[in-house]
Amino acid sequence: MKFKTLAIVLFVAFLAIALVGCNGGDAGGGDDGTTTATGVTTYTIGVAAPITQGSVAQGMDIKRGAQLAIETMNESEEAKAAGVQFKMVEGDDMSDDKTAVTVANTLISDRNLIGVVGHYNSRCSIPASAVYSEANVVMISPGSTNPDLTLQGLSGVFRTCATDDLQGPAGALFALDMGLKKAIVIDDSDTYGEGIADFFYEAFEDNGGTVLFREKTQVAERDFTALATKITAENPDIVFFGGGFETIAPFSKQMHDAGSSAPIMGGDAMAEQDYIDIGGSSVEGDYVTNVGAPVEGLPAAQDFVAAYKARFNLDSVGNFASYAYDAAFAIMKAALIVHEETGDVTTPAGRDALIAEVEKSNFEGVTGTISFNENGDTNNKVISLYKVVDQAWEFVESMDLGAK
Amino acid sequence: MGILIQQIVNGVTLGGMYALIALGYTLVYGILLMINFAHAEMFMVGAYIGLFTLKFLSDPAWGMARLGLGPVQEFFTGSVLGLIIMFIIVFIVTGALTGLLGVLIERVAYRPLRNAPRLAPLISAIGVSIFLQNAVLLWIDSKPIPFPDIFPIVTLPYGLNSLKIFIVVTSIVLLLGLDTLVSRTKIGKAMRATSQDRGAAQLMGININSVIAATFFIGPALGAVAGIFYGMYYGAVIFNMGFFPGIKAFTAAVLGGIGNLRGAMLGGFMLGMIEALAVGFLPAGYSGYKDVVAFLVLIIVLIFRPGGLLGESVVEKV
Amino acid sequence: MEKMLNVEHLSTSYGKIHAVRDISFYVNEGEIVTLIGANGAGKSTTLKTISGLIKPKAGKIFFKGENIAGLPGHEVTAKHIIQVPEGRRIFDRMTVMENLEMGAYLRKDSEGIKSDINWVFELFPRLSERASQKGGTLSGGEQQMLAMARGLMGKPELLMLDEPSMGLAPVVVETIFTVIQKLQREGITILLVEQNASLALSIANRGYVMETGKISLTGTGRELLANEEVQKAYLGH
Repeated sequence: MKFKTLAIVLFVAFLAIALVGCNGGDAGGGDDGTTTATGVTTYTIGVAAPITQGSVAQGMDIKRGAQLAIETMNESEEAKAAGVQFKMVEGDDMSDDKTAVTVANTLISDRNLIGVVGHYNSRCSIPASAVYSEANVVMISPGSTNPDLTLQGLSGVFRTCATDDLQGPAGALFALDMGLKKAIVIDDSDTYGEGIADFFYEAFEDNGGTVLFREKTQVAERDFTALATKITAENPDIVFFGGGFETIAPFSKQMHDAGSSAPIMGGDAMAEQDYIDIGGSSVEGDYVTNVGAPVEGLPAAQDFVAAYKARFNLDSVGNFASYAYDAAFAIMKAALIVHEETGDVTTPAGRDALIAEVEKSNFEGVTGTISFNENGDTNNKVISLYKVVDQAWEFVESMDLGAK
Repeated sequence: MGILIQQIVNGVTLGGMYALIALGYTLVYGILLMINFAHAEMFMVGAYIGLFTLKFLSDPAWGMARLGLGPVQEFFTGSVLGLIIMFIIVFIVTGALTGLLGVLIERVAYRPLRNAPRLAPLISAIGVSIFLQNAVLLWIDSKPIPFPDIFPIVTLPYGLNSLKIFIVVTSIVLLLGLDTLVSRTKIGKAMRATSQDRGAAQLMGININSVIAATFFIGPALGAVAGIFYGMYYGAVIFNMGFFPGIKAFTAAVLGGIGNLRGAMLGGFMLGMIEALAVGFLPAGYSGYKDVVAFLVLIIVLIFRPGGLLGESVVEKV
Repeated sequence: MEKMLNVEHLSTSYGKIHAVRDISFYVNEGEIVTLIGANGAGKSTTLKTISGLIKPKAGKIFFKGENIAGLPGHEVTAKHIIQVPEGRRIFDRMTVMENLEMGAYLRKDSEGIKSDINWVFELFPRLSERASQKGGTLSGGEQQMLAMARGLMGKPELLMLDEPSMGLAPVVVETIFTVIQKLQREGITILLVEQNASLALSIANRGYVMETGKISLTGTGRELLANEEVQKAYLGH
């Protein structure tokens, strides 16, 4: 009998954990009804990202970024004057495409939902975008960089991050400018990693570089000792790795242990302080490309960084937190305008107006100027190169691909 | 030639870790005929316990100095003898705590189901696995945590370095130790007897519950050591780190003959070698097929020896 | 004579099937008592319940005055109640010597263990020749000898033998039954379960006949051998 009791206790513990996981991100705000007696209207902003499985590190950054944006907006004079508050509802897609569609359907069932910040993984954003577009809900992905997302011709689909077809080539051009002519290209077999590696490969060869060979590995793989030995024997000038920091950091460490001196380069998913913390001295000299001009240069970003660290009691700001922050602001800024004009964003006309208003976005966000092209991609085509110097990402140079 | 030796070094190091984890699967299978799916998570939790123990002993920002033990900490981090003593403490503390967790899990999640249909404990194991992953995810962090970079790495020729040697030597010492424990000591013999015939073992006066508890202590303790190695070798620990090594180690256990201790050791080293050599000698661009090669070898072995390399009645089973 | 083992109103069931229903019997110190009966009558279940492998549903089992019903197997063994199980169940992948060591698992007197190993080798000289062989490689008769020898290593006060003659050649059966009588003379009390009723009754002081989980008849070995019903049902006359 006592085992039954124990089993029940455990089951309740499970439930409790599950509930904590669900409620942790609630940004507060008014009741479910659109307008309360006090005349305050509450709109729902969905945040869809991997929270418990998959790219959890980035997913949590996105959630926190959006949460901070919503809290900041709710406190602002702008929102108070308009009588509008925003409420966050989160959906955990676990980096899984089918779960992402379920999450999308769950989110749109809330009739106060006007926009979604998400998803992170390209393989999730692409199928989920069809659901949001169908429901006339704005979707702004803070992290899906695969070009296909905005090439589907769906209305209301945007992103605040630059696409892989910009980052990959920019990385190739940066490398060639530095005189690094022989590259080995690896990816983690994920939509993002594979995409960015392909674009790097193409641009690198087109512009006079030689790719010695192309390798594939997996997101969850951590043992690269054999691969590192093999690559080191080929003596490349640079190794480009399409993947996330959690995969590339151990790779770089093992390359170093194998005696390689070639720097590693990756895309925005590698641009995290954690990359350096995990890799330690091994990652000195590694490169990363990232979207926009350096955050440090923008005063708005400084405030954001400080607020973020204080709000979540963290030492560093994950990259995607800032994209999510800007994405949430793009939706909320547009919503305030539409609310002012029509009085209700949740009507069909209001929703159409919201999409049109997001398209017209033009404000200074924490990642640069936020505006979108006709596909919904960010016009921010500045790609910057950073290098690990003395255990920190140091800005090297920027390149404006929009100007070309 | 140099490359071949380097790849063998890589394979043996990886194999040592696989072997340590594989033992946990094989020990439990030998005694309960159950696949303990939560074992991969014991490895993960062990890595975290190791990380925190190491930080507590070595990181000035953690505990020790505040407890007025600053000089002790300086001794640990400041001298070779100190480092050796510190690592021994880390291994013992981590092994013991993870082992106790294993015993607790057996008590709570498996023992009540011992006479239930065989699927029940399997599902329970999956539940424990999810519970542990989520517990670490929610209570500790979702991000990878860097492992203290404290082990002095001396680079040697042929891709060897002090850490790889340390991992391989410690693994082999532990494997030999376990082998001796099982074949020579009383508790070891009780484990063998229990695995061969639980009822008859009881008639000999063997307390089955103690034997099973011992099994659930030893497996996770060794897994925890592998977890510490993993953290030191790959630089970080994360809540879902158990998945790949868990599958690989389970494969190693099957390759060697599940239930057979020496088989698990052999399987672990073999699998590590196969992976390293496959990456090394598959044509450039095809090293992603290393797992295909590994599983191909597994399938071929199982076709000719369905019980695994040393499975069933070839050598002592536990 | 004192009742060494006294079973009172014992019932045991496997799931919903009542394998043993409200049986009572006793064994005096120094006796050979046999339980006979057809296959499935509940004889083995009775032994397993006494030795703690199966939990009783109801009833009491007194051993030297102490109720041991429901104790786990290893604690029953610690009281020197030793069962030699049906089908030998020796440890196949251990040597003969290791099997004997397992029999002495609870003992700490290494000198006593050594002398007992010599003693069981005297009882079963075949085993001493096979000391370093794996249990699984022995013949059926040798395995039965090993199972008994292993049981003896636990210093039994009450030795419970479950079908020791099953599947064995007549010559071997004879050896084993000779040893059983020898053990009685050395002061070991024996509870014997046998399908070979005439053989069992011929060496037993007393016997009980079990039928579908109940005790139907009891008497001395001779009385039962002479009983007409027993002769018809179990002795093939």
